[in-house]
Amino acid sequence: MALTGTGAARSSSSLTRSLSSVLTLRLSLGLVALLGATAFFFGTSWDIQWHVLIGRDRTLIPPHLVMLTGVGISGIAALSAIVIETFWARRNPALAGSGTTFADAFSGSLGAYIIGFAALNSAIAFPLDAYWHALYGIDVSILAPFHIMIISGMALVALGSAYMLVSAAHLAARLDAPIAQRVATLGVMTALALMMSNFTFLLFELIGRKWTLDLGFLSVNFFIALAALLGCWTFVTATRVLPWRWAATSVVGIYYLVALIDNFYVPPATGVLMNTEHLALRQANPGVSIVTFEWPLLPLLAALAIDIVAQMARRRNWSLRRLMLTEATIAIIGFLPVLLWAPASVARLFNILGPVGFVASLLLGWLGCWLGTWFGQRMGASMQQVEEV
Amino acid sequence: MSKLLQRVLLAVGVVALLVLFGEIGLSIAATLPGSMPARVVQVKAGPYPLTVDLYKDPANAGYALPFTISSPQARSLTFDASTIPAEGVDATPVHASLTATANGAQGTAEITVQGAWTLEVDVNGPAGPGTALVPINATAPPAIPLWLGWLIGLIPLYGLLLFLLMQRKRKAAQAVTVVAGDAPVHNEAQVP
Repeated sequence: MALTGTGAARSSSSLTRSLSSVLTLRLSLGLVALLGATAFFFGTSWDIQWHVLIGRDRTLIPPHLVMLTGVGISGIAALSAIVIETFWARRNPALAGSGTTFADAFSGSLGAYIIGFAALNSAIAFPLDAYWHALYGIDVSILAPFHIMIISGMALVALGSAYMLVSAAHLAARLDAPIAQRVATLGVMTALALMMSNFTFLLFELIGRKWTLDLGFLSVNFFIALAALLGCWTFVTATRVLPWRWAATSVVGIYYLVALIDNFYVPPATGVLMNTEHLALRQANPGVSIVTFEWPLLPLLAALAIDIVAQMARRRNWSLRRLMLTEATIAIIGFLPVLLWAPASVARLFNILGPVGFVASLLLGWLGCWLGTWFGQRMGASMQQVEEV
Repeated sequence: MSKLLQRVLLAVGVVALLVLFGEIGLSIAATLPGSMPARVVQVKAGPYPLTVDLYKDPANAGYALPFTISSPQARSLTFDASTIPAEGVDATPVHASLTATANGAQGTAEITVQGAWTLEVDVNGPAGPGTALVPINATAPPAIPLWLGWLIGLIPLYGLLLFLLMQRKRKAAQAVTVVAGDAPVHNEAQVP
C-alpha cells in the first residue's frame, strides 16, 4: 500500500528517531569497548612490570584482573550491541539496512562483530596462557603463542571500536548531529592509537639476538618489519577515515600520551600492592614504567611523513600505487629502533646484524611498510563504506 | 561471506563461549575444598603439632590447591602459609590466602608451574614461632605440540586476514552492482 504524504512524513520521522537510537547505541557501546581496550593496555603494562619485578605469583593478580575487566567489558559491550540492534531490526525492518546481518539471525554494526570475535579470542587465550605457564614456567617470553592471542585479540577490539565509531559518525552526519559526530571521530582517533599501542607489546623483545634469524651467511631481525607493518597500517587507515589533514600525526600524539600516562600509573600501583601484599622484589625497582621506557620514539616521523605525502597526493592527483610506494619508502625512517631507555638501539641492532644483515632487515622493513600501507588503504576504504546509510 | 561459513563461525563461537564458561567453572570449583581430603599430612611446626589436609594430590599446576590446617591448640595460634617452588622450577613463592576456622585455618595455595613445591606453614603462638614444610607435587595436563600452540595462538591474525579478504570481495561485489546500475564508478586507482 502506498503511503500518503502525511504517512510518509510520519514514517520518515519514526525512522529518524530509530536511527538516532542506533547512533546512541553504537556511540556509547563503541566507547565502552574502547574503554575495555584501554583498561587492557594499562593492565598489561602493569602485568609486565609485575612479572619483571615480582614474578607471576598467581593467576588472579591485580594486573590480570584489570586485563580481564577490559576483555569482559568489551565482550559484553559487543554482545549487548548485537542483541539490542537485532531486536530493533526485527521490530523495524527499515533499520536492518543500517547494520550488517550475520548468519540470518543477527543484525548489528560490523565493528560489534569484530569486537565480539576479538574479545572472545582474548578470553579463551587467558586460561590457555595459564596452562602454558604451568608447563614452561613463569618467565615465558612475551612472544609466546597465547600472549600473542590475548594481545592481538585486544588490539582487534580497538579496531572493532574504530569500525563501530566510524559507523556512528556516518549516522551522526546523516542525522545532522555534529557533537555526536565529533565525539565519534575523536573516538576513532583514540581507537586507532590504542590498537597500535596494544600491538606495540609485541615489539619489545624483537630487538636482540633471540629473535634474530641467523641464516649462516646473513642475520635478519624483524623489529623494523613488524613495527613498520603495524605503524603504516594504523597511520594510513587514519588518513583515510579521519576528516582532518594531520590525521596520522594526531593518532601518534595519542599513542605517546598513552605511554606517558602509563608512566604515572604503573609504578605507584605496583608499589602500593607490593606493600599491602607483602611481596618481595626479584630485582631492583626502577621507579618508572618499563613499557614507557620501551616505547618506540620515531613513529612520529612516520606519521608526519604519511600525512604530508597523503596531502601532496590529493593535491596532485597521484595514483594509488605511487602514493603507497612513496609512503612506504619515506615512512620507514619512523620504524628504526630508537627507544627511550636505549636511544642507541639502532646502533646495537647494526652491531648484531652487521651491515649486510642490517640492510636486509631494512628491506624487510620496507616490505612491512608497503604491506601496512596496503592494509591501511583497504581498511580505510572498508571503514568508509561500512554501514553508510 | 557465505551463509554456511557464517553459521559455522557462529557455532564455533558458541562452543568457544561454552568452553570458556566451563573453564571458569572449573577454576572456581578448584578453590573449594571437597568433602574428603586427598592427602593428610601430620607435621610439627616447632612445638605445635599440625594436621594439614590437601584436597588435591598431586596438585594441578595453574589452579588453586585447597587445604586446611588443624591443631589441638588452634585457638591460641595464628597461621600464615606460602607455596615455595623447588630449585629448578621457574616460579616465585606465592603467599596463600587463609581464613581462620574453629580448628585452625583453611585456604587455597596457588601453584603456578608443574614440578616440586613446598607448602610452608608459619605458626605463631604462646610457645613462640614455628614452621612446618609439606612437600607437594604439581602436575599439568600433557603438553600440546609447540606448532599446535602457535596454530591456535595466531587465530586473531587469521581472523584479521580473512576479514580483509572479505572486505575486498565485498568491495568488488559493490563495484559490480554500481556498474550494473550505470552509475559513476569510483576509481580505486586514484587517491580518494
